[in-house]
Formats: sequence, structure tokens, C-alpha cells
Amino acid sequence: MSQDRGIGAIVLPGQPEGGLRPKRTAVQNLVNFFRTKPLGAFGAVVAAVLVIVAVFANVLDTHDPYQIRPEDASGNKVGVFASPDPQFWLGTDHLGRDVYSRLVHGARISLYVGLLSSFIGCTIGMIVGVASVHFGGITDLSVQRIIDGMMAFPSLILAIAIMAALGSSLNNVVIALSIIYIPSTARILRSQALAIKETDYVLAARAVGAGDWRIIVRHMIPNCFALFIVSVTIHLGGAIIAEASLSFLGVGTPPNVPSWGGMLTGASASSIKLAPWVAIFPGLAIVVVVFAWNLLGDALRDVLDPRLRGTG
Amino acid sequence: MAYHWARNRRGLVVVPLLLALVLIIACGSAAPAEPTIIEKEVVKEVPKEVIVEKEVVKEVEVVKEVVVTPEIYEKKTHEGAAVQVAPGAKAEAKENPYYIAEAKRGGFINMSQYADVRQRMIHQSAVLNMNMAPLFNNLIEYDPETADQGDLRCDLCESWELADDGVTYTFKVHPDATWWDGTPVTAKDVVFSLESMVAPDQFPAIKGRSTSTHCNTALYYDSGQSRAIDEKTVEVVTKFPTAGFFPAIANHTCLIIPEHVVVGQEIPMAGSDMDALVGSGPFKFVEYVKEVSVEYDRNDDYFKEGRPYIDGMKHFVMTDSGRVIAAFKTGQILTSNQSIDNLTVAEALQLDEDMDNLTMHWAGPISMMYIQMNTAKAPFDNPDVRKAVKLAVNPQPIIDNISEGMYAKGYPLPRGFWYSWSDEEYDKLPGYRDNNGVKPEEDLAEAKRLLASVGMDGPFSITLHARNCCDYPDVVVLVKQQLEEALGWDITIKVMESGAGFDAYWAGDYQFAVQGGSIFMNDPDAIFARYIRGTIPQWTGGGRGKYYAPEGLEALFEQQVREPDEEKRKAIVHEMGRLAYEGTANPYIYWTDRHHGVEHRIQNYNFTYQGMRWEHVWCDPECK
Repeated sequence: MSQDRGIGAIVLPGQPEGGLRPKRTAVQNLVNFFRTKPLGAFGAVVAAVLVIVAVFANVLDTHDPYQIRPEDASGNKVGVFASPDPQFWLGTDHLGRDVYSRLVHGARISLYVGLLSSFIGCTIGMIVGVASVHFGGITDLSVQRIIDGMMAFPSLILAIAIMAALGSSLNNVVIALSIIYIPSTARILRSQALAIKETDYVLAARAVGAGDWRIIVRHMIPNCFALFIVSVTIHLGGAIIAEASLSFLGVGTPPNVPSWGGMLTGASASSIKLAPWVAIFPGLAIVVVVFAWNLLGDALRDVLDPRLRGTG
Repeated sequence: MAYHWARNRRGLVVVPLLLALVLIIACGSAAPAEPTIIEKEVVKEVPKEVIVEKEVVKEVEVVKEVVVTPEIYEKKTHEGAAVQVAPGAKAEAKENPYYIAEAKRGGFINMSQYADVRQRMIHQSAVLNMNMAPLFNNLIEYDPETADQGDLRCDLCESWELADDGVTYTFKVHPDATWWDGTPVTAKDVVFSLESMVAPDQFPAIKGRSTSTHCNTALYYDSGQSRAIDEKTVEVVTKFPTAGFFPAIANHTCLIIPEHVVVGQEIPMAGSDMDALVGSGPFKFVEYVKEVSVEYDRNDDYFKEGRPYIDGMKHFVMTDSGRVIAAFKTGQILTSNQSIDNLTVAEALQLDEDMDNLTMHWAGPISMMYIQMNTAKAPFDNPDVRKAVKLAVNPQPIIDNISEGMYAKGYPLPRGFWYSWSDEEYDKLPGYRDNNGVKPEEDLAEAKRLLASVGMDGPFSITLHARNCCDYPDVVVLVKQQLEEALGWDITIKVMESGAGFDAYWAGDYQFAVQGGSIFMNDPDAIFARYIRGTIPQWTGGGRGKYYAPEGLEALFEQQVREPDEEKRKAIVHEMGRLAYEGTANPYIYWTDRHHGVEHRIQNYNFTYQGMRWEHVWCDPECK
């Protein structure tokens, strides 16, 4: 629709007013993201599927994932390592539990651990990184040396040590993984905060007497959000791998909980030969989901980081 | 920019296609449509019962005839094992490819071991002292050159004699036996070793060490009851006439250690300080790499002439079954250093089937899996709750899941031995009886009634512990499901790192747990020693220094262990079994068999539960 806006205002049909590009709608942004970042889009779709599967696990499962040797259609108890069939789509494991149902519920565990641990770890890391920069001096020096110390530990070993101290439970896995994500996020966000600290609006806030808390919460942290979101997304894939690794090593989720890593624990060398489905499906799920989250994280980084914006 | 390769959207098609291909390959496996059943003939070796020796002790004059002379010793050690096979084992011996008359010298054997030896001490741990067995000797040993797992012979001794009183033994120490430092092995070393087994606190180097559940010398021998008559003659007086003394001191944890090193140099003979070990055994210690390996070299000065046959061996710590399987298949290892190797039953059977040049030997029962309940903590301080758990657990489905039905139900007294109850009694035993795997309603009703009587008839939350080892994580899942279904409990599983789990049990910091154990011989002495003394009562009693045993069991144990008459002893054992059944805080779920995979190049091997000294085996063809 065109309108006469007065002298000099030439508006062609379908063009924005005033010659400026209008703000895109969410749908337009999404379409643009899918168009410019097809791999990221693939990651987003897989992530969305993971969320749907996790949320609707109780609907999508075919058997109780905890049930040992459930009954088949004819009322007989199914055996251990039963191969895939129309009733047990992905077969049964070494205790006779339905692999498909455990895989579906495992998505819930993976998402729960991944989202929560990366969010908590990155949030604490962001606060630590920003506060460290804001206070500077001896505070910054001390905090960064502590972070150096934490980063010197191999993350999985640190997580195993934390799990050994806390014991195996789902929430303890979240705590362990949250702790190991703090130093890397703090270091990344610190670099962003260093730049923000020198911006005019922070200096202005300081000049008008804003307190430390106000400057950190109202001015610095909001301007770190883009990097924070990227950190959460990228760490999420790592958290899923770490949870699987801890469970595979037997120090993660309890053995009855259907986590993907825990499912791999029961699939030792001979079991892979005897019943390959026990290892292949959870292994494949981990690969696909982590691959997808990493693609999504990279794409988000490209989109949200002004320096990379438009680089494709 | 970094993703220019991926801008080509064909990638979006190729990646899913590749994934689909993997799926197709996975699903295309020629897997059986039915649940997998492994049908395989299992070489199972039944342990000899020791009752015959019980009679020997009673008939003192007969025992006196059982003097092992040097002549017999020479015959046994140098004429090959074929002539030593017990009559009952001949059928197996014929099929057994290991028996050949001529031993060959040389070769090096690599083998796996299931855990590391650090912090372990002689006389304390059965399984981890497998590393110590080749370095030391026993006074008496289980003869590894027969298929009879109960046959005993001299090891460090040259002969033994029992006096008319039935309690005084005189041992002659082998005249050529020496420690690696050249010092002769003397009667004083034997006296010192017996004392260190039963009363370690009198020696500063080993003070505070617990006496073992496996080296059960203290069942039959009191501190101060042995003396050196001369340099090579030692007299030992047992508490009472017993056939149990020899099997106990022949256990591989009851090693003879040098007094001049432990007392004189204050070296404790522990896994944490392998370099300081001074032994008398057929192999010398070369190198210990923490959590990696222990290497041995032939002791050229060994007192048994011509032994050992092989030049050396290396035990590699392999804690996961995948690595053990791969090492066997690639020939990196030829066997494991004992009948525990971290392989599950299914894995062991599969490996046996996969490898034509390996035999998996089976024997049992020797170990048990049980639920241990902490009697110092609610709700298991109440005997009715413990009884309800015992009634609610259904062993057969657990056995079917864990061992493909191979293991035996965990009756307090294992079935099928001279001391066992009648078949009728076993079939009717509440808690163990079932109807084709289905728990009888009356057992479940009784369990619920017992819980209701103590006010626990509603939902109840509790934590079930397990160590992250062996079959525990799987068994704990099965027990959880059974108890939740039967009793309506809400059970949280807590799996602990193996060492941390032991710490928790010793500290009494648990409610109930799934745990396993083993016995040092298949005899009531060993079965009930676990209830009377050692680690299990301390755990069920609430931790270190605590104690629990069903009331009256100790007194009966003292009776049975002294009772020479088989029928009377059997009656006492039956009563003990009933007390254990009624009042136990650790009801057994199943008795396990053990397996030992041995590559066919290793000759003269016979299954044993004991730590192997490896002095009697040789390689043909050569082990490289």
C-alpha cells in the first residue's frame, strides 16, 4: 500500500516507509535464519524434536522404561536381548527392558541435564566473569587465578571427582556439570565484559553515581546476553556428552534411570555382538543430538555476534 | 565462512542418508527373533567336600599315616599331573587338552587381573592377594595338579605329623627353602606367620591390621600355641581336633612371611610397597606399575628343583570386560590370574564360544550375592522388616537375568552337599520357593503382614546402595523393582564408586545394600564364619567395631566346629542354617559359580579357587 507522505517522500509499492528496512517479524527472522543458516536450521529442528520427545515421552513410549521383562502381546515375559520386532521396536536390553521406551525417556534426561547444567553453569560463569571485570584489581586477579586452577583440571575428571563425593543421582550430575562449565563461561564472558566496562553508558552510569550492583545487573549483564545464549547452546551439547560419559562410567545417573550413557554401559563388547541394538540406538541418539546442538550453537553465534553477522 | 562446505545443501540430504544407512545396517543384524538363549556345554568342576578329612582327624591313628614323605613329594611334583587326577574327575581329564606327561621349560605368560593391589596386605584380602601367591608359599597348599579342589599337600613343609592328642601338629620345613635374600626359611618364620594371621597387633609393622575373612586360621588356632622346636621343626597346637585347620592355612591368603623382614626391618608386606617384598616363592617381583601391571621373573633359586617351568609372567589390571575380551581375542593375554576377571556369565560363555583355543572352566558355589541390611539403622533394626525383605525378594528371576539361570538360589545352606537340608525342605522354604518364577502369594502376604505389624504398611521411601562394581548395578535394579512391586516401597538407588562404597559400609553409613562375598572353602566352617566374625557382621551390625549375628548362632558354631561326628555335626549345621535363615541381616539371593578362561597353550592347569602360584604350569607350544 502506498501513501503520499509529502514532498520528497517517494514510497514505492511494497517498500518500507522512509526508505528504512522495517523490523522483521519473528516468522521472517526464522525464515531468514533457515535460509541463511541451513545447518543451524537442521540443528534447531533436531533440538525441537528432542524437546517434543522429552515433553511427550509418556505418550510416545510403548512400555514402561523401568519395567524388567515386560509381557508381550501373548502374555509371556519378553527375554533379555530380544531383537527389534513390532512390539519392541528397538529390542530389549540386558535386563529385558524396552530399548525404545528407554531411549524416549532418555531424551528427557538428556535435555534436563543438558539444559539445566549448561544454564546454571553459564549463569554463574557470567556473573563471576562480569563481577570480576567490574571490580577489577585484586578481585579480578584472584578470581581469574581460581578459574585458571579449575581449568587446569580435565573437566570429565573433575566431574567424576564431584560425583564420587556427591553420589550418583540425576541432580548431582547437574551440579557436577554446572561446576565444570563455570570457568570456561566466566573466561569468555569476562572478555565481553571488559569491552562493555569501557563503554560510554557504563561510564555515564558510574558518573551519575550508580552502585556496583546496578551497573552489573542493569548495564553489563544485559549486554552479555548474546554471548551467554551462545555459551548455553554450545555447552548444552557438551553437557549431554558429559552426562552420557558419566553414566557410561557408572558414576552418573543411577543404573535404573534410562539415560543414553547409562544404556551404553550395559552394552559391553560381547553384548554389541549379541545385541547390537543395545549400543547402536542410544549411541546414535547421542551423536545426532549433540551434532545438532553444536550446529545450532554455531549458527546462533554467527547470528548474535555482531562481528560475525552476515558472514554466513 | 567456516561452513562454506556446508552451504551446499546437498549436505543436508547426505547426512540423514548416512545416518539412515547406519540404522539399516544395525537393524539388518541376523539377530534371533526370540530371546537369546546360549546353549553350551559347560565344564563344571565340583569341589570336593572336606568331610573325609574330618573323619581322618577323629581317627587319629589314620591321620598319622598321612605323612607326606619326600619320596611322595618328588613323585607328585615331577611325574606330571596325569597320574594325580582324582577318580571322579577322570572323564574330564580325558577331554582336557592340558594333561601331558612332559613339561616344557621357558615362555612368558601375560594375564589379566581384575583390580589393583595397592593398599592390600598379606593375610587380608583373598582376591587381591592373588598377586602375592606367586611370591610366597603356604605351609600346606591345595594341590593345583589335581582336578580335586580339596586335595591338600605340602608346600613349604616337607612333612607333617599329628600327635595322638589330635591337636598337636609337627611340621618339618623344607630344608632347601630360602627367602630371596638368601636367609633360610625357618620354623620361627612359620610361628611368626601364624601369629601375624591371628594377632597382628603384637608386631609394630602390621599393628592395626584386621584379621581377614579369608585367612581363617583364627577359627582353629589361638595366639601363642605354636613353637619352633629346632630350626626346621615347628609344633602347632590347634584349639580342638579339627579337619578345618589344614584347609584354612592352605588358603592363599595364609602365606608364610619372613620374620626377619617384617619384625627386623619393619616392612609390612603390603601391596602399597611391592618393591620391599621378600618372598620364598617360585617367582620374584620385578615391577609394579600402579593400576597397570605387576611383573614377575622366575626365581632361579627356588627350593623345588626344576620349578617353575615358565620364565616369567605379567599381570595386567583390566577393570572392564570389553578390554579383557579384546585382550583374550588378540592373544595379548592367555588367562587371568584368578577365577575373577570382570566378565559376566554371558560374556564368559560367549568368549568360550568365540575362541577355539580357549577353555572357560567353571566351578561353584564359592561366592554369594546378598542383600545386607544395617541393623543399626531404621527400619532394619527391626527383625520383622528384615524378614519381610527376605520374603519379598524373588531370587529365581534375578538369577535368570544375571546368569541365564546358571547360578543357584541363595539358600543359607547351599543345596546338594553333605551338610545340606533335604530337597523337600528347600522346595518349601518361604522366600526362596516359587512357582515357575512366580512368588507365592502367601510369602508376599506374610511380608506385608509383617510390615503392617510394625506400622510400615503405607508408602515408604528408602535408599538402596551398591558399589559400582561387578554385577551390583544390575542386581540392585532387579531388587529395587521386586521390592517396589511387592511392598510398595519407593526405593532410590545410590551407586557408589567401589572404594567409597566399602568406606560407607565400614562407617555404617547406609540403610541396605546389595553386596557379594566368597567363602574360603565349601564347608560349614567357611559358610558360617561369615556370620560369626569378619566383615559381614560388622557391616550389618552398623560398621566397623559393630557386630550382628542371629542369636545363638555363635554358640552353635563353636559346637559344630568341634564336633567330629558327621551326623551330629550335620544336625548342628542344619540348626545353624535355620537360625541364619530366620534372623539373618544379609539374606543371600544366589550362589555364584566362578569361571576361569585359560588358553590352550597353558598346560597342567586345573581349576582352583585359590591364588595360583603358577609354578606347575608350562607352555606347549611356547608362550611368547
